[in-house]
Amino acid sequence: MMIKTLVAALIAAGTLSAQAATVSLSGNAAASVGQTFSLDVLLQQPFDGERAGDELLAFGMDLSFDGSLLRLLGVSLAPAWSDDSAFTGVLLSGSAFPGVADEGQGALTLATLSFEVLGSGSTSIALGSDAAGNFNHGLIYLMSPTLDVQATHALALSVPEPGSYAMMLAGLGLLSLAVRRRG
Amino acid sequence: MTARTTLASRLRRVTLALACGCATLSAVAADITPYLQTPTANSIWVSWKTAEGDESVVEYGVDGGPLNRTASGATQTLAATYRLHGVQLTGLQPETLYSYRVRTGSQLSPVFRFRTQPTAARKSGHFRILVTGDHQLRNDDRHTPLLQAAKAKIQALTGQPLEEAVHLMLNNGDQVDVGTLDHYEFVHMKPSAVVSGNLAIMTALGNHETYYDPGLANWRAHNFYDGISYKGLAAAADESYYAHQVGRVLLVYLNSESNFAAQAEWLRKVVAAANVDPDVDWVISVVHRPYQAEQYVGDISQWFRDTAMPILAGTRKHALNIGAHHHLYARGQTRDWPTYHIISGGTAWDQFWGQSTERDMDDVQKTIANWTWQLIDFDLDARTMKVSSYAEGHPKLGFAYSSRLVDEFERRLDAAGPNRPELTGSADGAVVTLPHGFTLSPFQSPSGMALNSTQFQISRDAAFTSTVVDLIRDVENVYGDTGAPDYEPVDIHAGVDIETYTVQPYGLNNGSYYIRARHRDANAEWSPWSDARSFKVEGSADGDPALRLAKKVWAPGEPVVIEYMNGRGKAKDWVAVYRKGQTPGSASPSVKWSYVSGISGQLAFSGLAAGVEYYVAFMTDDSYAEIAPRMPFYVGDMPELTISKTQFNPGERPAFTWSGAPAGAKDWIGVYRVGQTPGGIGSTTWAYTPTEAGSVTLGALNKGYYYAAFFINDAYFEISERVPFAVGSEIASVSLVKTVLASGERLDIRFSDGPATAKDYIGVFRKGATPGIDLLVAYYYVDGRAGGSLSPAEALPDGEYFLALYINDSYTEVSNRVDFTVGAGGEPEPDPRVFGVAGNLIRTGDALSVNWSGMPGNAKDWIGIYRSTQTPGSSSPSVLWRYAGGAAGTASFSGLAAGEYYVAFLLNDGYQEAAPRVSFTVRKRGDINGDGRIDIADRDAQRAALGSCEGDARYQPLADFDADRCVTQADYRLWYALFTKQ
Repeated sequence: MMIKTLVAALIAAGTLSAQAATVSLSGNAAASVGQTFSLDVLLQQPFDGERAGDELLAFGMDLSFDGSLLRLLGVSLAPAWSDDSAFTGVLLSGSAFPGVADEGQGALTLATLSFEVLGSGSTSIALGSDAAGNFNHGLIYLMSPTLDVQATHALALSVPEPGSYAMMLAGLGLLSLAVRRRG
Repeated sequence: MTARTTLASRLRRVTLALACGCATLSAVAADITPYLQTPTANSIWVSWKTAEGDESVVEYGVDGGPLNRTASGATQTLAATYRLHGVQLTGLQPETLYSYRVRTGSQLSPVFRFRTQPTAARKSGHFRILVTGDHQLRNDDRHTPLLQAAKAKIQALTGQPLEEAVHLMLNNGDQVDVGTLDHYEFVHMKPSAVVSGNLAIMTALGNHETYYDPGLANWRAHNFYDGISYKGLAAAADESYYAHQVGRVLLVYLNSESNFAAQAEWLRKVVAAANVDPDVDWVISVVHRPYQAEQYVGDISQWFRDTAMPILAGTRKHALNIGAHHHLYARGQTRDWPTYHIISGGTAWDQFWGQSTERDMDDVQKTIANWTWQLIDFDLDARTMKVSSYAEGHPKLGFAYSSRLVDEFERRLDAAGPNRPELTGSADGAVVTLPHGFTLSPFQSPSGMALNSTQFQISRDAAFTSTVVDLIRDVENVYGDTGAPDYEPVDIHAGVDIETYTVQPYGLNNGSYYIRARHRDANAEWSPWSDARSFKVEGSADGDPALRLAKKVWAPGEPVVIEYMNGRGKAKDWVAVYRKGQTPGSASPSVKWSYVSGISGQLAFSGLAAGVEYYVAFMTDDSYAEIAPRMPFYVGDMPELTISKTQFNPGERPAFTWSGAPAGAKDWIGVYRVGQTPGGIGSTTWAYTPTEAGSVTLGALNKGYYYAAFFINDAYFEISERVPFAVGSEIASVSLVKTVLASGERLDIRFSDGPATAKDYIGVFRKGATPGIDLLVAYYYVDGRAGGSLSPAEALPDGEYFLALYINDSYTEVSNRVDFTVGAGGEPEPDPRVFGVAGNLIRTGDALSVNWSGMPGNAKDWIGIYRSTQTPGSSSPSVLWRYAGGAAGTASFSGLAAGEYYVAFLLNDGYQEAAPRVSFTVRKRGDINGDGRIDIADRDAQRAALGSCEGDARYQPLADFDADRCVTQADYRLWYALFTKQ
């Protein structure tokens, strides 16, 4: 269902504006089992085209990834943003007061996502919004229409080299301890 | 004419044309599945959704022949890629199978079949209805497999295709999680596609349909109910309630969310018409919030239970009520009427035993936490209705069952009730000692029905107005389950002899009593009561054992004085103090204890640690058998709790201060509606109070009487005095089951949301009287209750009256008035005079919506808006005004500046007022907290309400700028625009 939503959002995003701001995920393209890594959620060209001179007030996006390969450790919003996820129920949800004004920024960092690698293989992490179905979704500007976004980040997850086994075993040990405690 | 009416009339102009092969070049779009609705013997609506295209065409013909007819309709463009097509097929033959497909441009659906409804002349054969409940999950489609299973089972049972076996499908609300187009498409229509092309689906309005859908625009766009009418009684203007006759069944769909006053009047007329309609045998009511529930106790429609159900009971044709809202199955019989009620809770959010507040209710026979569907089967010859419930799954097990039959019951209209039973166990006037059993004579049914229930009543008086026992038991009482791994339902009445009632030792105090009992059969019919027998209890207690504390919070070091009463009189009866959470027993010694002296007396305990919750228990004969309810208390300082004021406008946020508190991290202030018991139901709004003193502003409140209290340790023990306050005016609601009574007939009064002060009363005055000046005709205390019912034993003399609720022995009216007539015979009942506004707290730029009905209807009657300090008169012109233009209607007033106002209904171009004024406030748009400014404090208030919807404690209507009844980032954007423009 999530994939269907993202596809719909992609179509919608394409139709809303030909010169739209875009969201991307920036960070590692590869990681090893047991490692943790971070990805920045970047908003590229936030005030291009019809959004010139506007203010960005809020954003909301859902996250999709393979839970058998990755575990989300945390979401940290950039300093300008108040974390609204507890209010809206949307995983990536923030608002700013005052809004973030157009000062010619080429890109804005919205948030940083932290993951732990659980298994190996090729996978991807996707972000998306569905503003028509959820009024807490999308990039919400003061004057311009709300913009749906989507982004995908490909990842190659591998078993660590022999030299890394000691580190990995230590990580697995901690992990099993945590699992036992939860149980 | 509204846009919706315009659309409907346009849609009615269906073009019928002979056609054949006109779409041969079109491609079949398998993902277009039509949705049938609003069927009659001669017509049906067909709707479908496409992303593009404005053509709405249905090609159809009698099944087995060519699709040689064409009907066209209209298209609603609800969003850029959301076109909803609607075509009404008319001129159809009753009980006839048709084939059809729908077409929008080159998009063509597959061919489907449907059958038209029978007329009321059909009095033989079967008429069947499929029922499914809530299915509001957006990303976990459980409704599709449920419907697939139901379809397969019905086809296997009947050996017929679904559209030949079943006539109609009912949904009872929450068919979406929020009322957006996305949810109508993916949560409702898509799963419904299992049947919607073959079977018409009719729905009741749920609470979730009202979210994100201001004015129910999407609800009205998808449902073609505005043309439905029964005996001239049309559907509501917003299509949220309607009465729909199919064959000999009248289905009454009600709105459990709003419009209660107008809806009750409409329902009264529907029931009166149905009761004498020779073409209606059965009345089935469908409402989202249920009549009763054993989980999430109290989360029902109190309006439906107290007001609508008694009105429906005005006809014995009302055989079944279908509710939902709870995501499980439940069935019971109303205590007094031959009416079944069920919850068909569908497959929505998981609900299971152990999750919520639970209570075994005597008007619920079984509650089974399964995902179920129902088949209602009317045998028209036999005039019987059989309801079968099939389970497909369980929230803990998934789709683990395969159409498992979990309940079946029936109603036979013409079957006689059970014979009058006799009571055995003692002679009339006997002296008995306890324990003592009373037994009913064997159950006898002249109709051959099985026994279903018994009722025993024991009263202090022969008229049974002072009952001390009123016990209904059913042959089965399915309540709870076996837990993991199987979660099988448990019958807690297994092995119980419901025809014997044993009064246990000390179950009654010494004194004289009367007892009577009766049988109920499996047709929901009661026998007559047995003859009452008197008896006298001796050798028991003179009163109920009890403990009493002069107060529940004791200062540190202060001796705690405990009074005990009516003990068993044994030398080793004892009283003990335990910490909260302890269980009396040898492994858990008490903190303090002492033997009692005599059956009543007093004990004092010193040396109890401060800052601790305790309870005191009363036990007998050196055992741990408790003979009285425990009494909790607390040793520690008692905080002082105060509120900024005691009267608020709706939407205002109450501010509290406290001092002298224990400063526990989990101590808290909670706000409850008057009449609610903390712990039994969630607080309306609350906040932690982790400091010795402080202040807090809580969430905005809707109209009502409330109290606040200080609680400790994340639980429900109150250590402060309650602080009462009110929000809004004319808060309470009063209604009568009948407003036209025959001479000598007793009143049946319902009331709710009262202030619950000790001397509140229902006052009855002659029509036109002024309370406080003219004499009361009668008054009835409500015994400090916030809601309930009462039926005074004495009838009123013939005449015209009104009644209302008055607070605390005063003439301050705190409810609506209800006009009624005694001895009016068959005279038509005048419409009640109603005058109100849609909301009495609005923002600048909002329109004030005024509504009225039952007014005299003079040509020059007018509505005036005045500042609160003004008095209508030629020297004080109104701020705005307009002629009413009729006895009933609505008007909208715009352009009001911030301030306090009232609206008045005035007669004949003069200043005589026809109804009580209605006050309202206009607040500067964006000023959420009402401090006169739009600033960061309003941003904080807006954010605190973010993600909430109407009905949630956090919801703040003044933060909802797009009027979708939810506060979202879209509202923040609108607020921010106001902030930057000031």
